[in-house]
Amino acid sequence: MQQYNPYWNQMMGYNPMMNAQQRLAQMEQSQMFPTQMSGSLNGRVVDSFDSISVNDVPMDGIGAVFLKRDNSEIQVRSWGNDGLIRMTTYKPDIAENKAEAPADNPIMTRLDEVVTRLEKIEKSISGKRVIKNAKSNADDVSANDE
Amino acid sequence: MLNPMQMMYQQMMNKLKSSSSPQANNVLNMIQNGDAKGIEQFGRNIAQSRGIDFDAEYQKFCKQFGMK
Repeated sequence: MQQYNPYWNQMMGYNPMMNAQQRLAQMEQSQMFPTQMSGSLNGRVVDSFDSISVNDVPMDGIGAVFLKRDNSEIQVRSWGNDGLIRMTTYKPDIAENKAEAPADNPIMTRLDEVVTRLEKIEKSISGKRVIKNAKSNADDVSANDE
Repeated sequence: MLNPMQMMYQQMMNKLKSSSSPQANNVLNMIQNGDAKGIEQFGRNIAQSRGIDFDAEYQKFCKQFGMK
């Protein structure tokens, strides 16, 4: 049995001046256009996408979003107009602190060549100096012997 | 005065018209255009998505009404 609620008429927007037909029209209108939650998103967190059932996907044209518990994937499922379920999976693009490889710069390549040549020249000059020094040392020793 | 078949049809059409679902709109369009094949394919797709054997269920439905 239904309990008496003194506020029932206030909750239902009761207006004693309305006749039965108008009241019926008002009730029908409120049933036909139910208030929709705006900004809400259907979906849930899942361990595996296999656990999602067909009933989890609403036929509202938007679908539902399913997030894997380990945040490794997000899947959006929605009904197509043809009565089949469409699935789109999103995987994260994790940004790592990688040093960017230097682009092939022709100036830098040329500069490297120049540096290599300079090093070669430097080596050859220092090699000649060592020989020269060794020669002069040997001359000194022979002079002392004499 | 509507016969029961017409009443059912009208109720179904009213429901489809009041729905904001694109699937319902698609079915409504197919009904209005008399696209029987499209409606059947839609039913088959829905059944496939829900893991239902469409032909077996259709046979059961027909048997209930003494149809082959």
